[in-house]
Amino acid sequence: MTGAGRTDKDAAGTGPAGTDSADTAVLSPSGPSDPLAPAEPAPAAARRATLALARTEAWRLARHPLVLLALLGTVVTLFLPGEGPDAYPVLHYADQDAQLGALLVGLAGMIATNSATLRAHRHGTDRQFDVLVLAPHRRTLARVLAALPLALAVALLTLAAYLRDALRPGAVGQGSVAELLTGPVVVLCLCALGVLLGRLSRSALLAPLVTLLLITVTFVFVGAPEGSAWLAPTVPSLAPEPQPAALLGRPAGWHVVYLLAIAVLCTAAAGWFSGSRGRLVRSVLIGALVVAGTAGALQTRGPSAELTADRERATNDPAAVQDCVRHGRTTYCAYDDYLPRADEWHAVTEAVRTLVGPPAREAPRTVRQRVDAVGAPEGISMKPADDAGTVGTAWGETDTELEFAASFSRSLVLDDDPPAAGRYCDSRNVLIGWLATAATDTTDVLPGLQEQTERMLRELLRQPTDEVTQRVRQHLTELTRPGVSAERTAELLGVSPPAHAGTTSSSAC
Amino acid sequence: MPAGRADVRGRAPTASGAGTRARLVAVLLRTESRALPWRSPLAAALVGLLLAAVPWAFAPELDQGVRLNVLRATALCGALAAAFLLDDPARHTTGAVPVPRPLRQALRVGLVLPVAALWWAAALLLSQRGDAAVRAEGLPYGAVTLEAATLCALAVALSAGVVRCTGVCAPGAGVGGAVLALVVVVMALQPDGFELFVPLRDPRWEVAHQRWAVLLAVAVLGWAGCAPDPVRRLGRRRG
Repeated sequence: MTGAGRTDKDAAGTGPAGTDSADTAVLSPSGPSDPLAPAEPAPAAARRATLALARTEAWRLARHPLVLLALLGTVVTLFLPGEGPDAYPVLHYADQDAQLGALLVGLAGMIATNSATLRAHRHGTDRQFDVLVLAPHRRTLARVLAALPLALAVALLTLAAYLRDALRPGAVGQGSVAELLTGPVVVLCLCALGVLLGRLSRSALLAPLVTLLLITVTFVFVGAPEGSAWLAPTVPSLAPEPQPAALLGRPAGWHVVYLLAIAVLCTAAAGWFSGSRGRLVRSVLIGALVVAGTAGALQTRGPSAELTADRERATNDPAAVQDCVRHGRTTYCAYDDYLPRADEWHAVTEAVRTLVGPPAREAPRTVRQRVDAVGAPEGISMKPADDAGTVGTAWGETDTELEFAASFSRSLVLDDDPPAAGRYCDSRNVLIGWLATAATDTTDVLPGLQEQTERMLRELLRQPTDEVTQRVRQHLTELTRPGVSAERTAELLGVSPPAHAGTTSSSAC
Repeated sequence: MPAGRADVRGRAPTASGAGTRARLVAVLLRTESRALPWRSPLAAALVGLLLAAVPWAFAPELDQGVRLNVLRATALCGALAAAFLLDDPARHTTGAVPVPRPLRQALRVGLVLPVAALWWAAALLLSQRGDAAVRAEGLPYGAVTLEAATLCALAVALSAGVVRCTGVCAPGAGVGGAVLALVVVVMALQPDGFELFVPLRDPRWEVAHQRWAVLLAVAVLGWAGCAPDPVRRLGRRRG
């Protein structure tokens, strides 16, 4: 009889609070016609009992090992410093950061609520529940309500992570409420699904199997975050670089409505399968089905023709959509969300100007932000910019700063050269590489340089900056001329000449 | 039938002849095949096959990299099914029979193994249907099979561990969740120096599959270690 003690505890439901309220529920005065059937409690008492059961279940849900693990994983990924450009977050992307963690918490919650729904069956205590006064559909409802605190916890984590990003001085853009809501709503939706699965089948395998299916759909089958991809619980952004907010085209609002409707649908269906087939449940079922279908259809329409045209224009004719701001001799033109970064860019351009010295430093220049919003296939690059230096939408990593400094240096010292391929193979490359590294105050060099150029550059960087600056200013005109040989470059800059003289002396790569 | 079973069980402790052992196995094969939980694992296997067929049915142009991940999902379905293999609601009544537990567990695995092999072959075939150009790229079947076998062996070993260390009759659900969680954690972290789920044509492919082989050995040894009945009861007995 070792199992007896446990069976009693489980038959009680679900813990002391649930039992107390259910036991003290006032029997309705009219009384049932069948003296053996359990009496329906008065509505207020039934509500109290439901809430009490929900509280107990919520506490048990929070202590489920998988839920704890998922919560821990979410906290670790959100709040442990990673290697990303943490200091310069783009807020209309930062609002999605918590969604992956929320999906995992939701999946863990689904397995946990499913296991809670099947607990009585597992311990062979179904029959005891039949004599309890709390009706099955109320117990079902309580199990869904128990997911609310978990959803709230995820909402708080999401908000905390977002606020931390939003309060950073380097933050740009603006988050969307719908994106922030997606995480907690996913948790709610999946927990409701777990309850429904428990009502549909007593198999303990179903919830892990559905979890696996959802993971596969979200991470293996879904490609670009457009169209039918939005039927998945969460849709990660796959853009390699941040886009302007206006070009995102993420139907996050409809997605939240869709998820909420599915949560309601699952709850109502679970109620239906636990025997509550009144008019209310039926109308909620139909209503939720209609809303889920509508929102689902609206969110999967894909980008509108207008948005596609906007993306095309923003990519190939950025001047038409950008705002400009002038700092000293430099004008910065950027998509309006990114304009606050002009101060950061200005620090770099001023450093380049200082290194170059008069008269070149006085020339007015423009910096233009570029982004590939159409997702051009590899090999087809964007139309080259006008005479301006270009800057991307990412910021805060050494590589992006170096690329920007190099681009600005190019526009400053090689003004009459069309920046055709963006790369040179003569003295100009060494000069630009040195200006970029010296202006950004790093020890790295531009990625993707030729071996010989990189060797010269590293030797140059080992010398005192003041001396190199003097030589650069003195020979600027010659260094910026096309086709200067590597030997001559080495001589002008005061570094050792290349080992294999004559092999790469022309400007051809 | 019942008389025969009682007869075999009654004589088992003293009998040592090979003939008796063979008869014992023959009888147990029938009883274990009836005691095996067939329905849930079959459902999982079916879902796995459906997953493997998705590229063929909906996107024949999907490349081998995606197909590899789909096959991994199929293998996980198999692992979920394998987690339920040692579920035995009658565990506490069979605890007293003189047939050692390793034999009963081995019989269960042996019964399922041919079915599982057929299933996996079908999954591999299904995953390769579709675009001829994609098929020409080829997929390292051996390595993928190693991954699948390891995942399933891990699930069985974990179930055996739960059976050994607790009085739980049906470890399947818990172990299934644990296997899923384990895989998600490994995929999410991709710990440096312990990558397991590497993409195709990755330089770490070879090393990763040596790790898989080690894991398979550990799982099999773990199962072998957990299969025998403990001399003394560990943990508390549950109901």
